[in-house]
Amino acid sequence: MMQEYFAALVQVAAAAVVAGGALAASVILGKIGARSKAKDTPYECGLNPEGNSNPRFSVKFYLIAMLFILFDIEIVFLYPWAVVYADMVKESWVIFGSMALFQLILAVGFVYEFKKGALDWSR
Amino acid sequence: MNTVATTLFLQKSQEPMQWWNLPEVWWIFVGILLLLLEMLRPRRNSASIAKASIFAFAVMLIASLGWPTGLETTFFGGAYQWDGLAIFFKRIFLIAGLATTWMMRKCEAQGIQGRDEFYILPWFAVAAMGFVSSVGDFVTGFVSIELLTVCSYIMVAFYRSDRFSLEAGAKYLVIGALSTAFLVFGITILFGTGGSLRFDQLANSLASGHQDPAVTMGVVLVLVGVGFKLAAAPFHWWAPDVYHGAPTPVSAFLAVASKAAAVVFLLRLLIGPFAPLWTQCQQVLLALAGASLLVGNLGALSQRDVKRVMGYSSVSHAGFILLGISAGSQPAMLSVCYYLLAYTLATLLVFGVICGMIDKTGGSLMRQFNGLAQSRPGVAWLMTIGMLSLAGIPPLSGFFGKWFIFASVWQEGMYVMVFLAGFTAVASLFYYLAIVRHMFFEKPADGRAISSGLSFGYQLLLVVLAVATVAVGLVPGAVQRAIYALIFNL
Amino acid sequence: MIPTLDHYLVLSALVFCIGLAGVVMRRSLIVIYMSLELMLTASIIALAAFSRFNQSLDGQVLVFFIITVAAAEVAVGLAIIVALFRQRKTSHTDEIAWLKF
Repeated sequence: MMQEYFAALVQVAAAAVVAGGALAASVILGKIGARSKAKDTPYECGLNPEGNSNPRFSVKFYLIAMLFILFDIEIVFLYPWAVVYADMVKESWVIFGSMALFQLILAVGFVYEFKKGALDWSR
Repeated sequence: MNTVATTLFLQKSQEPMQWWNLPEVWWIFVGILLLLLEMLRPRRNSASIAKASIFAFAVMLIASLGWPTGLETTFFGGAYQWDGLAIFFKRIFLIAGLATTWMMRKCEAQGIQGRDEFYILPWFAVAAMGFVSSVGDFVTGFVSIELLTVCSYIMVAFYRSDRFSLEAGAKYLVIGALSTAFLVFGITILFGTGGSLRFDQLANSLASGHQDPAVTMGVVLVLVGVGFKLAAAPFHWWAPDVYHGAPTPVSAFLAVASKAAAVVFLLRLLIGPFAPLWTQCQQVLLALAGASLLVGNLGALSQRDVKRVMGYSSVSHAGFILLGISAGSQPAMLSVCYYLLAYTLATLLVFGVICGMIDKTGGSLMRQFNGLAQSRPGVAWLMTIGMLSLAGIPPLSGFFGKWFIFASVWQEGMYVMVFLAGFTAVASLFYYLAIVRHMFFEKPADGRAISSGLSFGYQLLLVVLAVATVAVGLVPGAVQRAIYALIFNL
Repeated sequence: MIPTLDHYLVLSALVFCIGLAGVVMRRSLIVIYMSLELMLTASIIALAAFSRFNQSLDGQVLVFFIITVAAAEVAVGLAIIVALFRQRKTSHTDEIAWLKF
């Protein structure tokens, strides 16, 4: 059983050695040699870096992302529904009706966010 | 009145109930309808949505008189139970929803800035609580409790420009999510050990193997989750802050409806899956009850803000309710229901007065109510009735609520708890009467009288609540018999 | 080595404890909220494992609902946190505790 995972173990070990080696090398090599202000900049030659390292995003991105997640997550109910639909619908239309009702309620939510201008990108 | 109900709902078990005339389905439908109305109406007019919402609550409350009683059925494969306990709590939720929406209408201009969802959110919250009162498995229980919680987050943080409202919202958010996490983890462990999420099946499998420590852990985690929702000590510390920061109608809603929902969920658990584990649950409940009584009543003594006092007071009432539940007998369950009814009416009355006065007094500090009895004696007396009922002064309903609970606990032989509860009830007199003293015997700080009255409709609401508080106390035996007949299907 | 139920449960318990520790110890509202989601995730892991090993699909159904509810909760929660941040210019719990007397 364990032999199947041996290759993975080797890979993990190799990754650890490479990553650790690179870190150690940079620490050791960094202490050697001349130090000046120019040497400490992120890019020794080229443009000076501009701005903050973690810039603020417009809150619009957050709103759109949240709305996307909310409607996207409903897919988890559609998948299992779709899998059993063909079998269940032979017995009764309840499975169709319940999903239609669910989608209808979601549609109200969508109309609501549309009407409230949440999808108006230019605002 | 019953004819209106007859047209809305099929009657008195002549025909079997269908899922589409369950009240919650109607409530959700009303909520969605109001939402559509709100976004599709041609002119922005806040009053129309508020009035429509209040009117719909009144209609649904009248319709609730026609609900088929004396009938026990289940829906959706056992996930939804229709019985007397559910009916009692659903009516409490409707009363709370009606009063809350009315108070929201009163506080209209203060901070909602034309966002009329404020009046619609109670519908979804009330529907969620209706599902909680009928819950028959943990999936329904979890989803409906979460619907309630998410609606409450939005309502608590609704005054976006108000610093306290937002902070209370953030605090409630973290606490609510934490309690959810405990609840869900407890449910998970119970599912793992019991092999089912249905209450009846879980009760059977837990009855056979309840020596398993994992079961105890699951039960304790679920009770911790419920304890947070119930604001029972030691999970209470959010309550004063959130009640203080939230918009006043929302504080009333949390204090009454949210707490009642937690109580009915606890009752459903105790008569369902946790029934085989009663002795363990009883110890946990007793500990929670004792801590809540002490912390709630002693914590309120040093408070200067009426809304914070009400926060601590709600903790102490959670203690009384838990004490009644932990007695575990049939009379104890009745006394808990009676207590909850009395608590609901008195708390709504007190918050109603605060809500009506807060824009005139400029805040809810106790000294801002100074001299209210001179300028607005009627309002001061209404507030006094509410406070005295909460404190448990004899002719009022709050006294009989406490009396019934003490009697049923005494019968079970837990004398120490009765003495503890009695002691804390006496301590509670100090802070309830302190507010009365400020209204009647203190001079207003800046010498200005509180002017301008309340609208006729709002006065009507307050008077009806006050009359109900007194009436439930005048005929306690009859009320209790009515509750008995309702819950035990006679 | 075939993972058994115990492995999943240990993982789940660890994730739950990490989340709880995060809620208790961190001071940024966003991080606290992430930790709370972590606690829900712990339940999801355990539920999926129980479902698999108990041969009962109920647990997986609950998983779907937990995911959905968590998404809704996050949407509302982040909205509140963003509004609070705009007002106070901070999301640290120490700096927003005004509701105290």
